Amino acid sequence: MNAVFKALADPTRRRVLELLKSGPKTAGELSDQFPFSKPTMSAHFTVLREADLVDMQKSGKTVVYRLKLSILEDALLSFADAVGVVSRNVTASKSRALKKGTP
Amino acid sequence: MMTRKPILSGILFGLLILIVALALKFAAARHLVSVDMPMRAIQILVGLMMALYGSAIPKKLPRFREGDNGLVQSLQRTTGWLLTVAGLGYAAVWALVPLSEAAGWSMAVVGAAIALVAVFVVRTHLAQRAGRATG
Repeated sequence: MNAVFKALADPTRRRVLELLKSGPKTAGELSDQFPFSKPTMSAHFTVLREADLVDMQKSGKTVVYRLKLSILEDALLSFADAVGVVSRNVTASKSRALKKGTP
Repeated sequence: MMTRKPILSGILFGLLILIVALALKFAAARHLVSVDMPMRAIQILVGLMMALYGSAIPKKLPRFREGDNGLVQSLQRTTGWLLTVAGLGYAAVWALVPLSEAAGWSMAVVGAAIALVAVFVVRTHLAQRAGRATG
């Protein structure tokens, strides 16, 4: 369960899971959605695979990822997303307030 | 646990239900809990078990095929959500509704979920056939 929480803690990995909800995708298709290098994305995929949240299949030269979320993990993903959005908004408003010089 | 050792988890859950039933029957006979408590507790456990098994459905992926469009996976996710919510609903009904009406309402909740699953199964089957027909 610890691996699941670790995997869901990162917004990039959460976004990968959201993308996979629409169906299986190749590693290239997923990587194209992010401004990160291939090794970085590969590291994210490894974390997701180790948490058993995605399934990987080799199809010729391409690697295809499929979603492997239980309903409980799906609910956790939605919760983590909601908390992530709220905390990003709070951080953004705090930094805006700091720039303006108000506490 | 539910996905990796399904037989063991099933046996453990069965044992848990038996132990809880015996303990509550014993307690009810000694007027420590109300007489309807054993029935309610068992049915709540059954509902939670249904929710747990429903939750595990999307983890059991179909065999990978070239050009997989994710239709079966989508059906599994929908079925998982429906059975999980139905299981939790079943447990909530047995926890909150008067005992005389709980059986009817809980069956209605599960029946509605199963009917919806059947609708989604037929829709997925038709969509797959249409997909195969168009190549």
